[in-house]
Amino acid sequence: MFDHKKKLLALVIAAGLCATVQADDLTGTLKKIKESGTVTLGYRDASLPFSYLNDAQQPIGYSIELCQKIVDQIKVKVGEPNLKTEYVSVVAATRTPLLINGTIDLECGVTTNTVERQKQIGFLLTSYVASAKYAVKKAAGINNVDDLKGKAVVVITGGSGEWITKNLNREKQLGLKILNAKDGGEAFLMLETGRAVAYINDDVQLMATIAQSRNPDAYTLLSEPMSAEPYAIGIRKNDPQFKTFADDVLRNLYSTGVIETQYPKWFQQPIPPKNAVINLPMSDALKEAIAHPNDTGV
Amino acid sequence: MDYNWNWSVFWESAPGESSSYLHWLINGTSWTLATTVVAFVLAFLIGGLVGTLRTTTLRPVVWLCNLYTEVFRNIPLLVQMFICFFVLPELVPVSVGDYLKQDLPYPSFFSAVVALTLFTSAKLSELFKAGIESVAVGQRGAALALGLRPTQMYLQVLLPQAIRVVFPPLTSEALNTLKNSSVALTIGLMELTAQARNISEYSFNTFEAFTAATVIYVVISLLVTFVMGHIERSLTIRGATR
Repeated sequence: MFDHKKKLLALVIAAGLCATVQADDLTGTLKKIKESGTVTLGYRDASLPFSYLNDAQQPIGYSIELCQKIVDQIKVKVGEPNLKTEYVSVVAATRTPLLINGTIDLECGVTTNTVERQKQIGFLLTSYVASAKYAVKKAAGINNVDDLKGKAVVVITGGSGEWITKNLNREKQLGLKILNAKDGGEAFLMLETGRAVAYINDDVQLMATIAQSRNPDAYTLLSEPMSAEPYAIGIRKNDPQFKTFADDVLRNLYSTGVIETQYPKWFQQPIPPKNAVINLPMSDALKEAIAHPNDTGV
Repeated sequence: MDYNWNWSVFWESAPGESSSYLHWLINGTSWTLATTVVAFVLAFLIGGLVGTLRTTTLRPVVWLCNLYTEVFRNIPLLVQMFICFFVLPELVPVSVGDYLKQDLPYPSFFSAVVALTLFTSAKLSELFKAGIESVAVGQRGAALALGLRPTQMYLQVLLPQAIRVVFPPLTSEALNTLKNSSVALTIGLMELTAQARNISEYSFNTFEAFTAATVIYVVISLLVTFVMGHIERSLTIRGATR
């Protein structure tokens, strides 16, 4: 009886020592993950095809898959093959606070790496490059941005489309009526119901929305790209160990060509839940970001 | 928590913007006030009328006004705004729908005010009904016995007493209207909460943006409470019993 207790105590102390020795090498996020035995990913519930829920309410998507690859390597790094992966739903307004306060460790959504945002959070290497474009109804007969003169355009509040449109309006004196929408769903509804003749968002998100819509053939994108938006996975700032580690995982995916097999799965093949195809070949800007990995913000 | 507090963010401006974030907050506050004041004044008038009619003896009118109250009180405000903004223009004749969608200035303000008015007026009608019913039953009979017409009875006997009873809860409803106006951000009205979200999206200074919005809401609420308190006291009749 007494012996048992002693043995147990010794075991506990030994285990404790082992843990501290290993955890000592780790700092920041990796240390937190090791100590809690869980890594938490933040996901968006409807940002196709990057981060969304499938019909089984499981987060899936291009960004989620990249994060899962990073998690696989974290398991090796911290020596915890049974590391638990938890998912927490975030929205545009909550992604930063939840990352900073430690609720989530990686933000796997659709976040553009901007210089302004870098003051608050860190970004991994660019994992996708989108460009803002205007979606219009084919029947509206609008072929370029000049045709928008005097028309109503819907922008997502806080999105880059908002200031792009404001600038365009100033520079070209278009006299646009700029309408705000809370998110992509409502913005598209405004285009669909005719409240707006054009809806600006990142091309890939527009194509995903249109592909899922009731009548995908009725819409088209104006060809003029209005911006370049480097998407990146968000992490906490000032965590060099985790940043280097996760960047290396991505760099490895890029150099070994894994990314080239992963890309078509989300952007060129049918995706759940409706098995619609976005049909967007890899852009030159993304090829460039893969050939020369970088974390430059806009 | 490694958060980069930056309270001077309000004096900065978004990339490519000439106006500062502070300006956005002021702009948002104006929309919030405009929506709240217009909706509350209209709701007060409509709710007062509907609530009064519910205490009359005209059965079909009572029935209609009850229906009105139950419909607009029981449907969530968010759903009402959505219906008002997205569904209503599709139900009316095409020309009217097109006018609502394309030519009406400030479409989201218009829809927000309509939905908020209907929602609040339904709650106020309940309040007024209760207020009128709280006036001693004998007064109704006494007024009629004096030869007052029903309109006179309401305007000169029942309502002046009822308004004093409902004043404290009326203040709460005014504050609720102020806070409910933030639901309008879902239909694109750039009111205070929407602007706070906007600042947070641009700068990622989430805590500062929402702290500022919170402070503004509290200040407006305190002002409303103060003003309503004054009106309430000025309405008090010395020596009147409740």
